[in-house]
Amino acid sequence: MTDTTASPAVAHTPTIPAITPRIVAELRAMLGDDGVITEMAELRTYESDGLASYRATPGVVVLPTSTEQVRDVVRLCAREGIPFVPRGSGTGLSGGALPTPGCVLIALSRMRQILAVDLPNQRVIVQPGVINLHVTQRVAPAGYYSAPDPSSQQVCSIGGNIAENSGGAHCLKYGFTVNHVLGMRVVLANGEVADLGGFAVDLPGYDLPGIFVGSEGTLGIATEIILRIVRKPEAVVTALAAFPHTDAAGQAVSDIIAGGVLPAAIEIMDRLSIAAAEAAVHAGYPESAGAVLLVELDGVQPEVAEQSAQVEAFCRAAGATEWRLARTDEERALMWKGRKSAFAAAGRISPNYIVQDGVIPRTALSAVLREIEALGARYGLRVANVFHAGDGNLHPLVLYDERDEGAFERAEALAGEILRTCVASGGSITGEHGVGMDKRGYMPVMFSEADMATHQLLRCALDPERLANPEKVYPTPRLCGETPGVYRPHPLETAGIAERF
Amino acid sequence: MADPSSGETLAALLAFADGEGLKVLPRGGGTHQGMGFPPAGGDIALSLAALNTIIEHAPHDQTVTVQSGLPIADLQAHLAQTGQWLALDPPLRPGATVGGLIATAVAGPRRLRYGGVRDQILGVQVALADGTIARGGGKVVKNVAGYDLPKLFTGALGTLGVVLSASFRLYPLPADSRTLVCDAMAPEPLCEAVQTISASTLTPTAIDILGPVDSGQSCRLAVRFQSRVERSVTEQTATLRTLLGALANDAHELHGPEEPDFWHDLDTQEATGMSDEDDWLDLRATLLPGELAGWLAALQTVVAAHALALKWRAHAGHGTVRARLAGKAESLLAAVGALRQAAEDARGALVIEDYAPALAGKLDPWGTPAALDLMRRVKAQFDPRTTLNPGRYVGGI
Repeated sequence: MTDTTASPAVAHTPTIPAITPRIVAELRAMLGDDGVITEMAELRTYESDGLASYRATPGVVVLPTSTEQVRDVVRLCAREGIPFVPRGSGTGLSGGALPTPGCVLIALSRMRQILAVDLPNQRVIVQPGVINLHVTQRVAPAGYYSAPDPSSQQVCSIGGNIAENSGGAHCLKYGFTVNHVLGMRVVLANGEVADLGGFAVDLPGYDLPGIFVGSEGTLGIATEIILRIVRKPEAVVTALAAFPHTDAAGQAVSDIIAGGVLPAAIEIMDRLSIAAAEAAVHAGYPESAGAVLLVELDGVQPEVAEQSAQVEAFCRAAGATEWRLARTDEERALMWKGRKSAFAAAGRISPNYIVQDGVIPRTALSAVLREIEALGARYGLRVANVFHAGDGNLHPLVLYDERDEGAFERAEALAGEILRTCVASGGSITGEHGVGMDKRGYMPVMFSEADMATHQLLRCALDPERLANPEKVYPTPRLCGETPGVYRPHPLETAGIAERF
Repeated sequence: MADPSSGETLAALLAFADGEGLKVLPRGGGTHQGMGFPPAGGDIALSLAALNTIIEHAPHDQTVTVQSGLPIADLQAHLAQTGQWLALDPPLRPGATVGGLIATAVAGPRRLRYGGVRDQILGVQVALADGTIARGGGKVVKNVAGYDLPKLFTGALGTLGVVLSASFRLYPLPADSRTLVCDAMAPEPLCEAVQTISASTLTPTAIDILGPVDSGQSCRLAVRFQSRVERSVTEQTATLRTLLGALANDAHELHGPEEPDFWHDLDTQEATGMSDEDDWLDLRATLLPGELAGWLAALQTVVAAHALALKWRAHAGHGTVRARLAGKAESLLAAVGALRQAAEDARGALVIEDYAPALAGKLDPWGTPAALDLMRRVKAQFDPRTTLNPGRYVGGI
């Protein structure tokens, strides 16, 4: 999508000091030659993240291996007034790791150690470059897993998950990254190292881990993270229901939730996304279906058994034409494969596409889908829909062909209209992909100037010089130290309600 | 005393006070006025009592938006009509409000299953000291747009701004509940049992250990199962008996109306405590679950060494212990020092949630968080003239 306030590659940040040979030499002294990248060809690797339509070249890329190295690099940036942009695996879909042109890009891909595993207390300590799935793989033999499971979990990093507060298919029941991060060591934008939160719950003081998670790299860099792990459930049932259209599938979801069932995951794919997934990974979805509902229940065996029967009944009552239970782990994996590869699969049915991420109240599903369909017709573009139906998180895939004159612009405009529809229904411009560079122009659709100025007081507290990922999330920076427009009541107005003692 | 009837009026009042250098003490039901340091000033007591409406309850979305002065009991009664609840169960005194719950972030036994306030709050509207009204978060269950203001205001004890309204996710009320209760002479075997349960696939909603019970020296383990599926509850209770082995020999099961009564009585016991002693305090330790037994042993030792009276309750599944200590003031202060040290050595923390007025000014209710300096910087941005609840919070924020 187009940022409505600035073109992608042009930052409206003040002039950035150049990365001089002296600075490069200092960085090499800190990190070694293999920890500093200055070759233009290599820098290009880092010019975009998972949102490839935005590109900018960093001044230098550094690859630290420890908290101390991150601290030293950030101190140098602070001293020289050079902005820095943290980057995990670069899989983000909102341009959150897009370099500020000329910045120091701090890639955390060499910080891949799982530092400690404490099974009795259900905690692990990891470095930010650790791949999401590797945490689960490490603790799985003991019967545990890490709950947040974004579809990119085979490649995305914990640091990236922290930046974006990543969710995934199972967050309806188990929560997002923020619900599983208890503490972290962070390097703030002035190079200070701080410990936020800790090992136990409900520690005294402001919930700094709670605001740091999801701040998209704008408040500093997490270098050691204390994560909660959870016990693998006794029983898991994964089932697929086919419906003639998405309305019926949406009705089934409403009935399931209203019936008091809390599935671990509940996903809907529409006709176009089914076709794409089938072409890509042959998940065995019924291709004639207008919608597929994928539902997973987990917990203790008797509960899962009874709720599985309830869910089947709700689906059949809502018009399901087929109900299929995964009988083996292989069948379960195949059902999920179709869903988890849905974004990439869109390439099978369209030369180009935009992945959108918006949230609506679950009950608005049918109305919003109709609105998206109408918008698609108006813009002359197809939209495939995949969504985490339980929590109302839509992922419309806007399909276009860049060879058609103006198609990209129309696709971006349509994707933007979809966000406005989400907000108008009471929802949000992003459920899990983040605001990043991509959606900062849409923040005013959801928040007032006063809202955004208030949010940015946090930035003023922790990064008043705006050096940490400076261009992201908010369309207009709040200058720290300025007072917001103060509402001054008429003295009489106040006198009537205030009584001093 | 001010009792504004709208968020705009409240914000105007704050701006006025802020401009005039007046200190404002916001209050909900007034049930946690003992939390924190005594305020370092107070010109206006700001009651949220008139902001007490349910703005929107969307039962099918399982979300609710309410004004912060709404009593929690009223909210739960309303939600129960549609078979839902706000899944937060801290021990409540009559009149406790939603805003107070956000400000204090106190948790109850079922934090184990549902998480705390921070995990269920979706959005807030707040009034800052300078009169700015701002929103953060939203009213949908999933949303990552912008900094997480709702979490920042959760547990901030009204020191950053006044929460005017908030949105929460809701859960269906469980249809069936069953609690297994068994006693032991000391906490250690019960803590071991908790570790066994935590490592199992059982899904209890609460695991509490209580001591001392029956006016003696024994301790009690209570494990609660709740579900909308009756068989889940009965079968898990049976499995638990097997897991507990000999401990379960004298165990008894509670179900039917006596089951919720049992849990309700625990809350009210905690609230009334022991009143015939000179001085008293209520502490809360939060610990790694595996460190619970060690800290409880320290508790027994310290209490015996200082000749204090003691009643305690551990939400063992999530490592939270609440204890009331009573006795001589100097003994209480020495005990707090030792117990805080024991908690911090075990990578936990200890706060005093309430205390006898005679102890005011003699103890630090909070301890010193590692990131205290950052917290001061946050406070300085949101409330630069320290208009709101001055001095009450960590480090005298």
